[in-house]
Amino acid sequence: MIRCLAIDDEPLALRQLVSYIEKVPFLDLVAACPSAVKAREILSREAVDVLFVDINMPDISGMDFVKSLAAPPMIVFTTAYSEYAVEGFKVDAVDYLLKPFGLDDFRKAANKVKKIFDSEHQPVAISAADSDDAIFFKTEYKVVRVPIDKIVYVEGMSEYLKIHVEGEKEPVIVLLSMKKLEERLPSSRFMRIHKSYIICLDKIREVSRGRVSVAPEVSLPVGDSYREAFNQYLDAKFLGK
Amino acid sequence: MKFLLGLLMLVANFGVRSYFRGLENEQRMEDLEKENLHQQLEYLRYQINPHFFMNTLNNIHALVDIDPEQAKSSIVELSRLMRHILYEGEKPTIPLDKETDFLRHYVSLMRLRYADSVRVDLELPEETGGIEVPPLVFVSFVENAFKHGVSYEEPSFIRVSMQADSGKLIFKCANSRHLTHPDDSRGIGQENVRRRLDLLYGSSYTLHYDVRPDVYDVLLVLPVLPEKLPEPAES
Repeated sequence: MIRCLAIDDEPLALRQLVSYIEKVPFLDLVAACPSAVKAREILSREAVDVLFVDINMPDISGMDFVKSLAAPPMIVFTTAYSEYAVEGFKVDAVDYLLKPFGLDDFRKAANKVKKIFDSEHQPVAISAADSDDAIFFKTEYKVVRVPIDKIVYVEGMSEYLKIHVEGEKEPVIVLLSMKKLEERLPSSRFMRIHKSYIICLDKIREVSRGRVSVAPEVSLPVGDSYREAFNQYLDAKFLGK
Repeated sequence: MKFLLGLLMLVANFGVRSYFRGLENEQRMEDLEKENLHQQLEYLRYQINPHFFMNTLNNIHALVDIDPEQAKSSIVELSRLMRHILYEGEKPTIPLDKETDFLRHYVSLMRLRYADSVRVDLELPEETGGIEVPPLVFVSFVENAFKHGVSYEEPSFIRVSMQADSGKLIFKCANSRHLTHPDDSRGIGQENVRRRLDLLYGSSYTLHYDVRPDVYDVLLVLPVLPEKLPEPAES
């Protein structure tokens, strides 16, 4: 989730902004602030990834407020001004929302924020040295190369896949179906064990009570309709009674 | 003799021609001056801050979901305000009651934006007795009061009053001053109003600013014009 603050001195404008934020699933509203002073107070004790901030406010303008921040988070300005646009890029605003703006405009700005957020939070640095075989995945903002033998397991979540890669803290998230990826992975080394999981067979550490562990503290369930195939695989590899 | 007569006629002719040319020039000069004044007045005409429109539309946009009835009445209010600016704003003078209605719409839409954070008192005469005023003079003072008078750190107020009294129209506009707005400079809008008043009233009006630590006061006294304003005052 991307943590955000909404800042606008006009109550109706703030309410509208909050309602838009609530409609975007990956945004988490930390607070709605009627002034920059209030926002500064929140920022002093909360981690915030993005500010949606009005420029024209009494006391301290949104622009002055942003300029006063030592380590500003991402900025999306909301404003009735347009001449500030140029100045805004000097403070590295992600986007501008010119009032009045609709939900679609807001979504576009939110998606820009997400792209930047994702690229900063998914340092996928996979070494190109062992170019045994790899798959290139198109994520929202770039193409990521994932060596097949580094894939530990794949987790499906609605239309997205989380590909857990050995040596990487964060999974690679791609818009792809389980079926598509399953077809692409060599069946000798990967197996679908659940509606939502594909595992690398070489990474299996232990199997107990219908669950498979492929990494420390990762225990995945085996789905009913996949159990037979999985048991066959185990039987073939089994030694002793 | 014939020669003399001819010379005389020539001189007379020249005299008459230059006399008429002089008249013509005078007329043309006068026309040019009028044209110049007109252009200056046109140039100084009040133009509403575009942010006012954008912010008001933004608030109405939000109201559509929150309170559709208030959204509707705000649209009506905004349309009346726009009609006034578009159609009355071009006239040399308009009836005072149209101007006070306009101020009421303006303040009502500003209240929508600032809600309870600023106390706004508006005291305008109900009966204006056919007084004519130049359009859109008062609003620029009210606009400035909102611009400089609102703070969230301190209590804020804006007080606007107007009364017609023995041949004079007295307009007052006061706002709270705040440490967070050290810059009270009133910008080009205010300068334009003063120049416009100079052109329209010459020295027969009073515009006085009183700047105290916590209050900014504007006093404007205009001579009452029961009829249409005549030609712009001689400068």
